[in-house]
Amino acid sequence: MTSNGKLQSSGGLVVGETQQGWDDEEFVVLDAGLDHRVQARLGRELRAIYENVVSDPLPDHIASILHQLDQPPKGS
Amino acid sequence: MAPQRAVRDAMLAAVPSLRAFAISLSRNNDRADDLVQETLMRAWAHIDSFEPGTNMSAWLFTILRNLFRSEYRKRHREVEDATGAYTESLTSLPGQSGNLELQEFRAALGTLPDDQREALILVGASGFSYEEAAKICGCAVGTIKSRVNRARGRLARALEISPGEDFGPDNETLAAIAPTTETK
Repeated sequence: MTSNGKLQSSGGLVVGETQQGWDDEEFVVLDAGLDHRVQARLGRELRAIYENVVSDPLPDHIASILHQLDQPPKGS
Repeated sequence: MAPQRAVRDAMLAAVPSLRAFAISLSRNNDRADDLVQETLMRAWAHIDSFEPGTNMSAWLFTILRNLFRSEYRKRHREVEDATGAYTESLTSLPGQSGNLELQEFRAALGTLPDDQREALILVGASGFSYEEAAKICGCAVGTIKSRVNRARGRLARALEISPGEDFGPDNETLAAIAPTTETK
């Protein structure tokens, strides 16, 4: 990983660790014993599934909710 | 008012990802859409409690997760247990490709314990930091890390992925699921 502890975003998603530090307890759980390439593949597939849904058209009733939000809030 | 508009725009921008998270939680598209709808209504009704400058997505995810935990999960548990259809409902995710590899992954994802799958998706797909995911789930950062780690291990075993295969790794996908593997 990068030396400053931050990771880049990709595709509009901020991925991975941001600025927080580590607690002692956290070190014990970091190594799953997985090769980085294994983790890369898992990450790729997980995001592929997720992005399929994210890019799906919104159902009509959700779109209509969003349209309601388009109206000025009450009282303003 | 401009601030209200900015807040609303932030809400709208978060909806597709919020919906994907809802589907991963409920494993049912209709239920997921109900969850998203109710989340948006509640969020908008309580928009005054949103602190400008903080993460809108995290706020919405938290509301949705709490809704799911408090209502939907209990309400539908019997049905899910009866059918044992976790995998089936996952494979019915919209927009799926015919890709066999992804179908297998989806099935394996469906076998994860709820808390592990949730943590993995928040960190590995929704793009939250461990810290944000911990806030959304109301648990310690270390707990999230542990869950993500165990989820990765389970998936790798379930899919029988070994390092010898050709993965064509790149830093971005690596970062998505293995945020930091540095050890002292």
